[in-house]
Amino acid sequence: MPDTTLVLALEGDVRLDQFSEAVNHFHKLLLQLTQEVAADTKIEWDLEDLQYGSAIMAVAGRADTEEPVLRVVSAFEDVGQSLQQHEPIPFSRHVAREAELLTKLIGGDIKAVRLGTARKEAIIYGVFDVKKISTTKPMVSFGSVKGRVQSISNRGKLRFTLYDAVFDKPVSCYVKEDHQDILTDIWDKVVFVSGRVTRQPDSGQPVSVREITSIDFVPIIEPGGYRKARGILAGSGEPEPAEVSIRRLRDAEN
Amino acid sequence: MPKISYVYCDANVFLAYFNAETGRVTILDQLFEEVQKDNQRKIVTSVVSITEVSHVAEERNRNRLDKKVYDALESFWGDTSLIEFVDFNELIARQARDLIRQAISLKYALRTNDAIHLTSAKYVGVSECFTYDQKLNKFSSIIGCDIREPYVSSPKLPLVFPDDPQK
Repeated sequence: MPDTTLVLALEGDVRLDQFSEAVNHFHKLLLQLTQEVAADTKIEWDLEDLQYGSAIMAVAGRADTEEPVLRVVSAFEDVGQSLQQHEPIPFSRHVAREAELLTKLIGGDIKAVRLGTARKEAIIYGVFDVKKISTTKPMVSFGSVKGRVQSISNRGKLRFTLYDAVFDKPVSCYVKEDHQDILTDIWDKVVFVSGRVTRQPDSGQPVSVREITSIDFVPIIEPGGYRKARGILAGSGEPEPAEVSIRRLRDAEN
Repeated sequence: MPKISYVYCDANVFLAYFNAETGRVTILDQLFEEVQKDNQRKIVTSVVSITEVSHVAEERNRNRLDKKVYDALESFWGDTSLIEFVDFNELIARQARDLIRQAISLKYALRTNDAIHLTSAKYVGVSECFTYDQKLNKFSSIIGCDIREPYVSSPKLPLVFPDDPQK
């Protein structure tokens, strides 16, 4: 089944009134897009997920046939990419207006608006900031993210949210069907998720992992287990100072 | 949820602890103890530290790192009540490159792994960066945090461990 999930995320510290306004524009944006690319179809958008940290909302489209929903998903991706690249939005002024109103929330505690689907991610730092044009593209590379799994969804397509270990921010992880079995075991566990990691270009914080190649459990070490390593490398006599050993290694490799 | 405050440690800090270096290990005992008991404070380091320490350990043991040592190091690196890691990602790679370029323009020598550590500290936004390598102190203003030897605000008398080789 194709994934029809659309994600709206407000990166930063978000107040309820701001979130409410964002949801309002997001909803109107979907209605306008539906009218333009799938006017003959009644599409219901079901709320799939709500996450704290950065405010994240996911909805999934539902209609008698999938094709019109996918047209809206694709149009939503185009809107996101246009906003991110500061290019004209290839739809009517009604769509453009709602999209731009969404980005007007940026500023103060809201650092960015993120529009995502299962395939693509757009991170928008402000429509009119010309200086950001060359740097707004998210960084995508193969890698892994460590964090705790806090929510799992199998509606439409498999997806879970991971709270990364360093920043404690939600990371949307899109799972292929061949990893379905592991999903039931990972809830509330700390795992490494490997795949194509999308990061915010300014902070480097991970926001999503797609094309997941593996999900590995992080071994659980009892708190205080670190003490077992005290003096583990000490031999007889006074050791060479640590900074001398490490410096020799670093200097040798340059 | 309160935000966690991170303190960065260079690889040589961990090596000093694994070596139980006289005069340093007691401070590290207390520092680690304090951090581990504080839910809002953690130590952070680059994943590169794991490899650097392992390299020195293997060199010292003539490439025969026994399982006991390996397991003890894993217990350390895996103790998330104490430590978290910064991975080496594209942003850090680019910023480390820029830091090296900046250092050259200031006529400073900065090695690749030094740059990765300093950039990783900046990436997390740490309050302090601990290292025993005084060559790195001059990068404080560039990184935007104090770079200094590990310390504790109220040092205690040395802890006594049964197997302490320094007794």
